[in-house]
Amino acid sequence: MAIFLQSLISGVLIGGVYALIGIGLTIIFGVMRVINFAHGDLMMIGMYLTWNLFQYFHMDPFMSIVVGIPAMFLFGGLLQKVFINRVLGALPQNQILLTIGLGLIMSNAVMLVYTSDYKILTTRYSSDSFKVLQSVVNPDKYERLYDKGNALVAEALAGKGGNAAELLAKADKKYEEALKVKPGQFRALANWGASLASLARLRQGEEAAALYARADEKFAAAAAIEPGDIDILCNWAIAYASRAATAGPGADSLYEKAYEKFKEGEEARPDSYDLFNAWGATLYRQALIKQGAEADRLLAAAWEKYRVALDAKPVEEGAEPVDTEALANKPPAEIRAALDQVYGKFPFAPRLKPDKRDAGISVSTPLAISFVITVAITLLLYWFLMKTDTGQAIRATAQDREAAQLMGINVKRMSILAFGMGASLAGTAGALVSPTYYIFPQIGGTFTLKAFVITVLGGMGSILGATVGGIIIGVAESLGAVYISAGWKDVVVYVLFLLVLLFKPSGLFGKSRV
Amino acid sequence: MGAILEIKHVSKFFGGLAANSDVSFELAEGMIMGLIGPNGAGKTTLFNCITGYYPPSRGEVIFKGRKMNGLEPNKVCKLGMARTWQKVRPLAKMSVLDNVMVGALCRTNSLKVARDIALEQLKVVRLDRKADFLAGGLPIGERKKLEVARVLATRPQLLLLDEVMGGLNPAESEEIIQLILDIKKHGITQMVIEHDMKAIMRISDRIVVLNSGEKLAEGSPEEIVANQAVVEAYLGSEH
Repeated sequence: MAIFLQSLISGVLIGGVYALIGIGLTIIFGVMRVINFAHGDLMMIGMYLTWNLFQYFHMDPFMSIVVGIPAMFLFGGLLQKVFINRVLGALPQNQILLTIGLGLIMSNAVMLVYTSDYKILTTRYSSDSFKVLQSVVNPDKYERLYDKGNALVAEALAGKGGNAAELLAKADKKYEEALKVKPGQFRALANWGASLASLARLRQGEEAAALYARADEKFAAAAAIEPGDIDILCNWAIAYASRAATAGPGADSLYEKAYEKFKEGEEARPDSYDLFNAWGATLYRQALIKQGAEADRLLAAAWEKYRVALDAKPVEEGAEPVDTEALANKPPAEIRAALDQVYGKFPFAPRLKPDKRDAGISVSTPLAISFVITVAITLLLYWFLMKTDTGQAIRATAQDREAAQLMGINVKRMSILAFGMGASLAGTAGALVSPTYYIFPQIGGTFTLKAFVITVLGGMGSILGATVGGIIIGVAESLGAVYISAGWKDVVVYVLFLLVLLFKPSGLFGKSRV
Repeated sequence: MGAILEIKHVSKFFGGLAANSDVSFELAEGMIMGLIGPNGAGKTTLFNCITGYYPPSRGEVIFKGRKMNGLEPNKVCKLGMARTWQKVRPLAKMSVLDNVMVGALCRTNSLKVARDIALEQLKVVRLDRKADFLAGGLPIGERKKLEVARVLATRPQLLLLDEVMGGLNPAESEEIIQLILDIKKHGITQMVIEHDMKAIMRISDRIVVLNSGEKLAEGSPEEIVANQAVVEAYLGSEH
């Protein structure tokens, strides 16, 4: 169910952009009876326009449509005035040749300037996503309480509000309720323990001791269900370490307990960066309350763990891997100075078990933004066509060019308007997909074909048809990729397309023309 | 009253075929001219030449003292000449009101004003009850009326009606006849192609007869009825 909804929503979102491309093509076809085979190339031009504005003027791709729409409108209007208007009465094959030719010129001109390299437009939010429908897709009461608890703890740990204790106390209740609904859930137990330990750190004396004791209990229960779980062991160890920091004389035995847990963790996962880092930090802490050789021994051990942690740390892109061998055999004073830097302010934050992985539907942020823009533009376009005099004139021209002309409508002007609108819609679609697609001169062909399928599917000349057609194609691709195979998604689209042609040759919303 | 429309030696060739050859006549303001002739006589071609749907091969069309040859139909319409088609061409997927509004937009840019004009014209043709119907769903008689309302909404001074009574029953034809006479009262000059001889004789002030693309006769209805050449063109020679 969740997977189905996930792919359905992704499909609808990308379908919105497809719809925009299809609407552009269908308006041009409706008014001029010309199939614009340069449509995808117009979209490609829009993509490059956006890329340039982003690269050289640091303009957000979604903001760039403010420039792109008028620019593409003028470009499209010019194409219509100079080229397309001349073939309006010509044979269809001549019109097709002209538009294909224009498309070729566009893609090759762009290739001449920008080469055929793939360009990527990476924004802050290019790979962001957010979750929706959590309560619908995951109606389980336990999960809701558990997620709520996690959210509260995460908020408290982020430490912005200054009311961390309050939030943790609330989380305590949520976990308790969650486990009442469904006992024996190790994730809830683990996070409960971590939240209690975090709360204990904020308290003092008896109260803190009681909270630590409860945390201990939860960790033990969680570890009993899932022995060797690295997060539980790590958090448990951190809890002991925090407790030791305020324990005074009893500190050493608590530190020993912490190391025990770290060791158990090491046995389960010998390559965990977080674990070794926390371990090193704990050793460093203990060293601070010792003197002389004892302190040096602990510092050397902490340094050892730090080096292991560095080895396990995933190397960030572009950064040089740290040569941990070179860090071995340092004199104690140097180690001490280095560790002061590294662990002086170690946060000892627990690692929370994640939310249930498939809770809610993940929505890509750039796709969601582009969908919102698509809807806004489609509504605006609908309003323009339905509620303005020019819109009415365009619709009249689309229905019967000659009759419209006899009613005093300047059909050549309407054609220029229509092609301009089609071009700006294609350009807008290009701008909207530029944060998620590769940009290269030949990308147009794919989208021309897609636009063509969408408009034929929906019914040539029908705006509603193009909108619905675009979304159907988006969803078919998405479902096909998930339920059959990513390589077969186009097959699903074309089979659907053929079926529609077979049973309703004029398209879903098309009137058959005799 | 002066001539609103002058046709001077108009010819139209399609390849070697002369659909009109050397047709000349004048149309005085405010009157109704009937244009008759057997099938293929070139009546609709002449309408097309006059309204700029295609330019005449030779000769001149002068409307309100202005030469019209080759002027685009939308400009012709703005100048005050409008026509209906033999085969009605409503914008089928729009409402009746929207259809007429398209015509009205020739004179105004305001949809509100256009709506008022359109409603007024729908009343003239008695189609106001069906303003919200889809034009494609109207029966033929009402489609013809819609067509007339739509051209009237462009506020023409000269109206060319191409067989508006074709395919109508006698009652419907009678309504159209009354409509044409009403329009005349508004001072709009009309030129009417019609096959129904009784009707054309009733409404026309003057009649031009075309045969094989040429003007065969011109005169008042009484003169035309008495014209031997016309009778022969329609019924064949007795000999």
